[in-house]
Amino acid sequence: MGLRFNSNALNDSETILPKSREIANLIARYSGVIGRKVFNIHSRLCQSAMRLGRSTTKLAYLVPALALLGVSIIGIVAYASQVGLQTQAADSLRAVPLLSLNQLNASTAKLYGIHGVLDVGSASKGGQSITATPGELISLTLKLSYTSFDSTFSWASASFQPAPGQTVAGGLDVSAYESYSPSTSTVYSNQPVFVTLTFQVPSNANPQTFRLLPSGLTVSPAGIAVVMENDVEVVIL
Amino acid sequence: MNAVGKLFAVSLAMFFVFGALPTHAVTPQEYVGAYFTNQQATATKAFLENDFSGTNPSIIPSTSWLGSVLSIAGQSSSSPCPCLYQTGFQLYPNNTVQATSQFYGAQSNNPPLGCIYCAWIKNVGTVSAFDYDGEINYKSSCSCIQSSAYVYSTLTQVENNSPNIYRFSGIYTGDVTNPFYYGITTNTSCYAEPMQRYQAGLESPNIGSGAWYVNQRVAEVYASGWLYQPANSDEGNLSYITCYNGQSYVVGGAQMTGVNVNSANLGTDSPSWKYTGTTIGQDKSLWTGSGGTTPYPCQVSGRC
Repeated sequence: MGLRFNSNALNDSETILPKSREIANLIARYSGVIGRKVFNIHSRLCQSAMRLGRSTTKLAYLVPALALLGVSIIGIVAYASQVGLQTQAADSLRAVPLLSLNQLNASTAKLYGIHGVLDVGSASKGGQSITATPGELISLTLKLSYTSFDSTFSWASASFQPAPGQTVAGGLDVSAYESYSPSTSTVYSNQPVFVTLTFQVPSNANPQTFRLLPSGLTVSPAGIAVVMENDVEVVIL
Repeated sequence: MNAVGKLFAVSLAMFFVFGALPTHAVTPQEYVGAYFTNQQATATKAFLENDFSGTNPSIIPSTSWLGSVLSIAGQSSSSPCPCLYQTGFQLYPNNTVQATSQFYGAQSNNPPLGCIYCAWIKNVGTVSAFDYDGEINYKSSCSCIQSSAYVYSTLTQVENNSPNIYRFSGIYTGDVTNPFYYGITTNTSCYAEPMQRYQAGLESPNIGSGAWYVNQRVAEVYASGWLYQPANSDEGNLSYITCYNGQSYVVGGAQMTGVNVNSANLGTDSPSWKYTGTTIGQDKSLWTGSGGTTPYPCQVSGRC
């Protein structure tokens, strides 16, 4: 390809002044020269771009490939180290960190072997203060809710068994005056159960204040965590 | 397919196979504690009194907490034990305290030592409480392990010995009537690592570097009476406490750097800890005497 200029077209025109023709010829001559030079540069650039394009294509595959390889190696090393920890001889080390409630989620539950969480809260009067008189019967409603982290642990069993000395306030062993109905419940995931806690204030109770909390709770099967939301302050007048 | 393409394809495959593998271990937490140095013996109860009144909760990093915890190893070799029992209190930056009991033992389809029983009670108090007492007890009436938290929030409760009592019971087979160990032993399948069976310590995901102190008192066990033994210091990376299936386990997992004893309050059966900027390190003597006193909540008959 090249620039072609038909100088003969100028010669065919009788209206072009001789000076203009000379100028036009000069322009045509140098245009051709310049055009050829531009073409040569363009051609060299195209060839360079083609060579670069082939290299770029390689790079387009190579860079991400190396990145993936690096990540894979890191993953292999991490996995191998974990496997190594698990299969190492008897002097390998494992930690048993104390778990906090705000750290508990589906992922950490798995690491700690927790299959679900039973939440025990007060459906009525939770966190409040109840005033009672000697001989009065106090009734609270507890709400038991179960969240499963493992589909094979779809329920939890909760049993309330007040034990002597549960709460002693000024000599009053309140646990002896508690009762739960039902005393044992099976709680399924997303199906809360309500339990009535009844407290009979002794007729000879002295004025005092104590906190009443669902007590003596036993949960099964193993691996079910328990969260007690709140207790209730009782003021005996 | 040229070499680069092959490399790309292989790397892509490896990435999906290995690159996204999850890690399996829990995250170690900072821990420092005291352990009894006597030769291993058995006990039926364990106790520890905890006092956060020397800590301004705002110095605790916002996503963290400061725990004061009693840890004791169970002795039975029958499933699910030997177990690890912990009871303690966790102070949060918003000045709330949660009581917690966490019992670890073997479970099928779980980490070798998993949480058989973990319980939390929200909002049992603040740093202004006089004492948070934790007790772990074997109850023959139910053949179960019982965890109790005694909280003395007011002076009236202290004077009347009428704490708020929070109690949980876990029923486990395999524990004998003297279910706990205290003291140290190297006679386990975990080679020569010394198991420090009773530990009273502090734990945190990240305690930061603010000035604080936590006093612990009445670090004791019950074996024909309440008692304590000479004690040394324990860091979380060396706080071996139990050996199960040839695998040793430590409390916490990481050293609690910058924490040393609170000399003003350190005494026999009373480990006290303070952020000083210097780390106490492992196996430093805390007290050398032995003796015993009945813990205050247990002075009410039938309570402990």
